[in-house]
Amino acid sequence: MINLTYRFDQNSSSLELAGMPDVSNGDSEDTIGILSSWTLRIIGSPLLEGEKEHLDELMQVILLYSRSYVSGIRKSFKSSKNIVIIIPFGVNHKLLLNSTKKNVKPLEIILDDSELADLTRCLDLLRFDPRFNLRWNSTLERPFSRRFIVSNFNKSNRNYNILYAFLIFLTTSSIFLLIPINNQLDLREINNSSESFSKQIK
Amino acid sequence: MKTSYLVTTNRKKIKNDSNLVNSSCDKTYINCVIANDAPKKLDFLILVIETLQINATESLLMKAKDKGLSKDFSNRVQFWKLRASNPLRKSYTFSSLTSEQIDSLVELISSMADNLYPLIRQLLSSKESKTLNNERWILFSTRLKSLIRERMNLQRSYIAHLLSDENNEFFRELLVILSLSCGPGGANRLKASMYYQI
Repeated sequence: MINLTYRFDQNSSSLELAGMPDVSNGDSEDTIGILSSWTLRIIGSPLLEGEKEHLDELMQVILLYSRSYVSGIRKSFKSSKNIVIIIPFGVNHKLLLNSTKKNVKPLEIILDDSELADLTRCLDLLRFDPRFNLRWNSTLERPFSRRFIVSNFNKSNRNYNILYAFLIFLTTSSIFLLIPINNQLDLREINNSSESFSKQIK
Repeated sequence: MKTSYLVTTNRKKIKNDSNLVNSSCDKTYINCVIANDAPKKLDFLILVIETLQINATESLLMKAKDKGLSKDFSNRVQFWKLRASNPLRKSYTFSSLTSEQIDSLVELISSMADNLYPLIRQLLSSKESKTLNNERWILFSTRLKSLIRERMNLQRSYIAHLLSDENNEFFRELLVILSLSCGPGGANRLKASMYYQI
């Protein structure tokens, strides 16, 4: 039986996959159709390994998070079985990995923007590599609905200028309303004085 | 028998795949409309590319020629007309981008981001020396701000806010978007962000 190992390197991340061709599915000699194991090395973090299902969950979460980031949305995402969770953590990103084994504490990895980009690129390379005949559960990059974007848009990015302008308009208008107006102003006197002036000239 | 391979980014392979990616993606854009901020976003991403690489416009036009893109990329003037659809520009043309133009721009930006990835990564990394990183950021933000002053409408409050922001939050966001837009997967991500689902 041929065992194949492929590695995807992107600066801080290195993803290695081992498997074999699925002959019953008509895979060629250099195609992995059955994934036996995978390991992910992120510099400064413990080695991650698991089964295909775990890699699938990691892929779902990271790709969805990156997709949302490109649309200006920063929110946390959970995988379908809650094994992988990613949360915005200041300017960084916190990756929480829950073990399927009992009494094992969840692993916490803090990624900066460059590490997130490296990890995303690694997973992208895997997704589009023709030497893998595996089906991933990750959803395609679909456009979000306008409502989803508005409801999840990064609050700090919101431009409140229109709201401020409206508030300033309201306060200045109300201040002007407080200024007393003299409605009983008599204009006669002015007319009289002009008449007297004309008389004086004569 | 155990064979091992080291995978590097192979452009030929990506080129072959990109057709497959595009054909599968086209189906997902049914019932979608172009996002309001698409021209602004694309123009700012190109501006960041211009900040990172001198003569980036020439490289973009050369790439467009290599990829056989439309007339919009035949010369600098046509390309400028495309970019003038950004409402924040001094020379806003009150025009909008077609989905074909958006796809071409996304392809070009993704390809340029791929080339500039090491530089982008350096700016985004928090693991490098702080003083060196600060110097890089000062250089980058000064150049980007001067380009913004040169081309954008300074009377717009949004532009004034960008120029006065010392945290460079928006510039950082643009860099992260560029870093996540590399390769075929990245191009799909960027393209998806340019549309809304109805």
